[in-house]
Amino acid sequence: MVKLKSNDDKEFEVEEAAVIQSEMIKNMIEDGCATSVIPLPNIDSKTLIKVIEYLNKHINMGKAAETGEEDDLKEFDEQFVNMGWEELFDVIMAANYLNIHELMELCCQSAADRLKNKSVRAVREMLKITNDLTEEEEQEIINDAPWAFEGPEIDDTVN
Amino acid sequence: MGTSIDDGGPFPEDLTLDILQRLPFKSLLRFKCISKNWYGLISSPAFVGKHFNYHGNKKRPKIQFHDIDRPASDDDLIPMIIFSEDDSEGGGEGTPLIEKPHHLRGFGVDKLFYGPVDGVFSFSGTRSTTEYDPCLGLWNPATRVVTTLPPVHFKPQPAFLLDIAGIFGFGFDPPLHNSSDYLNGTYYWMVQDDALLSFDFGSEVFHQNSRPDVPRHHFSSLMLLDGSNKIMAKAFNSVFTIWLMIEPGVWNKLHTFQCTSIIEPFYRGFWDSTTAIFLDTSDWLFSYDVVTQETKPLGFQLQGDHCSICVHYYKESLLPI
Repeated sequence: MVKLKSNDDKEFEVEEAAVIQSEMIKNMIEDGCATSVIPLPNIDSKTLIKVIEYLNKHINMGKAAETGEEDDLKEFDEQFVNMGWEELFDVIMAANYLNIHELMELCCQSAADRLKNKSVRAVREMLKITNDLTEEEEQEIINDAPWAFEGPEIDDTVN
Repeated sequence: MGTSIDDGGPFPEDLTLDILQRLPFKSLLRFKCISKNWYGLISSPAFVGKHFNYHGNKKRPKIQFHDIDRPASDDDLIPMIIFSEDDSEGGGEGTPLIEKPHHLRGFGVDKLFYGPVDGVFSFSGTRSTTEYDPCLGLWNPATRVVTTLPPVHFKPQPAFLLDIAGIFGFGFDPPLHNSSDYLNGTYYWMVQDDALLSFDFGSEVFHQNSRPDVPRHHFSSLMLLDGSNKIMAKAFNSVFTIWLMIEPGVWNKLHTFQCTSIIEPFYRGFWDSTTAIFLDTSDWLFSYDVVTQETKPLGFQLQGDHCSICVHYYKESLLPI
């Protein structure tokens, strides 16, 4: 078992087989730097719980393929990324810090899929971005590629 | 943590780029309008390169072809189609992505397109459709931007070259070329007297390199695939041989194959390292895997004279021109 400590001082015990999916922790263990508790100053407990949930589920990726549990894993992934933007960004940052490649892929792709067909207005609202372009600048960008702003797939809803 | 993806928030820029690189062109061109920060990120050369390579690794290039003998008329525009094998952005197999590009109207683009290099084609044409005023231009089909280059005043002899910012090389072909390719800052042409000519842009030196041992009367063409030069040779009995250039002038025989399932197919080039594109006698395009020897119809029939149709292998890019 490996002990991880979040930045709000909560400790979590994780099986070594699960936690070594993080390249960072795997390297620490190999270098003998993981004898007691591993402090994770960039990750809060809420995010760490999500990451550990992912690690535990993906503990035996190879086995899943053998036993036909791939569909189960796929379903888990779909459910897993079903979270708010702030939470998703926190998990992406944690996955990046811990260097968990598969989790990065999953979350970044999910973010891209959600944004892909959104209108400019919807993206700004979803991601709480303030538009600091002047009306003229904005019009100029639209004039460069007006076709990119039209189409039946463009979705103005915020979700 | 109250994370925001916009600048000022703690969400790092490189992670934003990780997400944005997965988006299709249309979304990115639209999202330039989100904020100053997003405009800067999406327009930055670093991101353009990242996006090009990300998609380049995931997808096979699209095929662009145009009919070089049909003149562009007003209602016909440029007889050209970009089509992809399988693309969630633009429809299924055999669906043209761009057909008769309207944004090229008015440029009097004539018969010849070159490239593409990093998703950009160059073309020669005339500025006016009524009088002859020759010009060179660049075209990025993904961003639909067309631009003309400043006039150049020199006589092409025997070949003339164009190099822009060290990224592009486009060959312009006086009659002696068969085909040309740009690799590692060096431009390669096959010339009719069985030589392979190269020009190094760094040292500005021409070299004559040896070609593989292919009989002169065999059809052969030069292609750049997977970052290396390859020569495709065809004998009269429809036997094809592919040679790989290991280093300048040194060639290795890579594949030999014979298309047996169709009679007299017209070879149109390679799609990826093992997939050749052919045209059958009724002008249908199909692919042929040289390893598995499988043929697969692409579901697309060319209109016009098949002998004058050019096929280009095209990867979209956001590169500004």
